[in-house]
Amino acid sequence: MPFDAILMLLFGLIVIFGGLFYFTGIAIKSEKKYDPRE
Amino acid sequence: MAIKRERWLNRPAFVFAAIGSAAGLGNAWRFPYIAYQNGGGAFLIPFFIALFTAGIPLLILEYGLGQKMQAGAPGAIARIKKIWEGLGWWAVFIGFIIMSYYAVIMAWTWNYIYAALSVAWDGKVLEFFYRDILNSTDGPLQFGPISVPVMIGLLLTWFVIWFILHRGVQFLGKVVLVTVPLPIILLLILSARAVTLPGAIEGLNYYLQPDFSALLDYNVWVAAYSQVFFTLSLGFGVMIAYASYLPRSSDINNNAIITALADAGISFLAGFAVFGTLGYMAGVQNVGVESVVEEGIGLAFIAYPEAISLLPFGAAFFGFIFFLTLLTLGIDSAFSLAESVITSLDDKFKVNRSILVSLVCLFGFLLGLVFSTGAGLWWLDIVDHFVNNFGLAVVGLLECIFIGWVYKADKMRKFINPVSDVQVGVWWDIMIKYVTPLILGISIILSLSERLVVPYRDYPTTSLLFGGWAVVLVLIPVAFIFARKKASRPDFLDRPSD
Repeated sequence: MPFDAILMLLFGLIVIFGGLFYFTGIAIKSEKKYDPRE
Repeated sequence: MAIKRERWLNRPAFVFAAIGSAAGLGNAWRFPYIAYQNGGGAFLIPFFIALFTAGIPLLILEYGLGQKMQAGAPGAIARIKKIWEGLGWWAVFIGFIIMSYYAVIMAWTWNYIYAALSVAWDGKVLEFFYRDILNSTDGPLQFGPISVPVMIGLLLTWFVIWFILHRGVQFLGKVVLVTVPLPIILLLILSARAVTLPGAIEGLNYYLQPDFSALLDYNVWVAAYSQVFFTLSLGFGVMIAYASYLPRSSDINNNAIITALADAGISFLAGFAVFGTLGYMAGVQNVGVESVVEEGIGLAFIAYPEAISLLPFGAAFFGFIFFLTLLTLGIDSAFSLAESVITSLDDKFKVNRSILVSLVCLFGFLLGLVFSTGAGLWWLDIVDHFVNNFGLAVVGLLECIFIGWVYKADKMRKFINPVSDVQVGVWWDIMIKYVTPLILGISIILSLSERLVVPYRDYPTTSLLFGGWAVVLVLIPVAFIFARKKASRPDFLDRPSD
């Protein structure tokens, strides 16, 4: 696979899955906020 | 006043349901092709920019509207400005039309799941799809009889939707904990198989090799913004309805970011399964990848099954997995569209929810029968094109104007930030007030000018008038009739207190 294709693959993976891990981490830490009885 | 409303069991239930709604068939059969056509790997740049400047801001808008007003699209809009209520109904009815043919595609998928067990399409993919499944005629004006296999699949689809929805959003929250991760696992299996096939790398090069000069073409940017808008289930009230079942103090911004990124991840992953397999097929047939690349229905029901039947082993297994992936990807989107209609009607009219769910499912099934006739495929194609390009885009544009200018974007931001894990700044107001409406406006004008000059795919004018323009336009007076109708729930216009 050409180098620039590998670069774009990494770019996509980092933005999507890096972002997902980061923001899900924030959500897990603030889990206590949700109250279905409200 | 305090509003008593059903609630999601927990935050993951809502996030999973929203991801399930956003991630549908388009992720598997549209994104990889759009990326390939618009600069390959370079397309990721405008795609991510569009995601963060239009997709996520609009998702935040819809979550914020539903959660703040505690109602589906028509109710939420009416609680801000009664005169705009029709916009909410229009959005919901557009969703209903989409749902009616989406369920038909699910019906085809049920048939293919069964057919995969014996790879029944082997050696006759075109004949199998057009004759054996669809019993297709030559054009939209030759209706022909209803296809029995499609009707059976349609019944099955609507039974599943009814079964999930009639028990309320708490049950729906449990269902999505299975139906959302399942297609992701299946896509991983398909991708792993695809990238290990001989010739797969050739296919992946078409998908990922960047052509940065494409970024200078404005059409690539319009394609990126359109893809983001259509992939996130925006513009038909689904996200507003789902968010209305969240407590008012729930997070908004972070949920929107997670939904958008997860949806993008599913699209990106699907590209490996699609292009890896197409690369293999091109190698076996000794042709270039560009001559086997397809999108939409042609990819899912013709090109991909053909590639599967060429696999060295396990064709039945991988065929089964592929169509199960499509089914599980699509079913969450299908029932979210139905839920949007049910929530909106339930907010305004005092009807038992079970009866309402049954009626909506029955009506959806009956409407779907039109798309199950021999001409169904042609009508589906026409309605889909017009509803997406004009209906949804116009609703999105009007939503931005409504929240950005009528309600005021900064007022909404002052509600969403204090309840959210992450904050959005003034940039969000700018996106909602200027950038997103401008881009949607350009996209609508471009589509409109193209359609007025060149008829869509050479279909007869009568079918374009009835299946295209009329479907989009007739929904407007219908929406206003519903908006004018007196609510039988006394609290329909009551804003929840801050």
